[in-house]
Amino acid sequence: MSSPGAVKSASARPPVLVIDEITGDSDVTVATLEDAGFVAVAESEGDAALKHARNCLTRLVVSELYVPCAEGACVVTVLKGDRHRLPRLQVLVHTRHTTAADTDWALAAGCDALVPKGTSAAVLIREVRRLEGFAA
Amino acid sequence: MSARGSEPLRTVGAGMTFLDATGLLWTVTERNAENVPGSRGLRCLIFASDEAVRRVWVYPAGWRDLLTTGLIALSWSR
Repeated sequence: MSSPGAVKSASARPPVLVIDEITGDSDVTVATLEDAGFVAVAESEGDAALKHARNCLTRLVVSELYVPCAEGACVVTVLKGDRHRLPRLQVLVHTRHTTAADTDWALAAGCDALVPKGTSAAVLIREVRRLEGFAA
Repeated sequence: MSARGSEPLRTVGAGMTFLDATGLLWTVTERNAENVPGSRGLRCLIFASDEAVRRVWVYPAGWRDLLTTGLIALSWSR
């Protein structure tokens, strides 16, 4: 048994939150993250994702781009704008939407990084690890 | 304003390109970021390749003078 003052282990970090309305895509993303040693959970709906992030003080989100929620047209914008409750949150957009306009939208929404779907798992994990360091 | 209600970030000055150690082409542009949700500064750097896009908030004023190795290192920073 650990003492009350024991330092929390790395596993005490909140899980990576995967937000994707396409269940098949989120299943692949969660499996990719778990294969790399991350703990990940998925939400397919924007409001549930917001609730989860705020309750768990999520620090790392991997999200599709155009996921709406009651607080805004894009859950990424709402999450990144919530600096009071989620000051360390890093958001990687992992998306099927790959035009220049889509990328501009993602950057305007506040994302910290973007990886197109279909890119290798190694690249996704590389970029997630980069953000993980900033969320610590 | 776009149909989805957000404006693209205005590019500031000239961009740069470089090849990383794997031969992947990256472009680097400085963007106006004062209205970006969660903004950490008035401007940011955007590193973009076919594989990934990275946003960097902390960078030197003379980033355009960096050699390729310096730009690669900068792309990994916050």
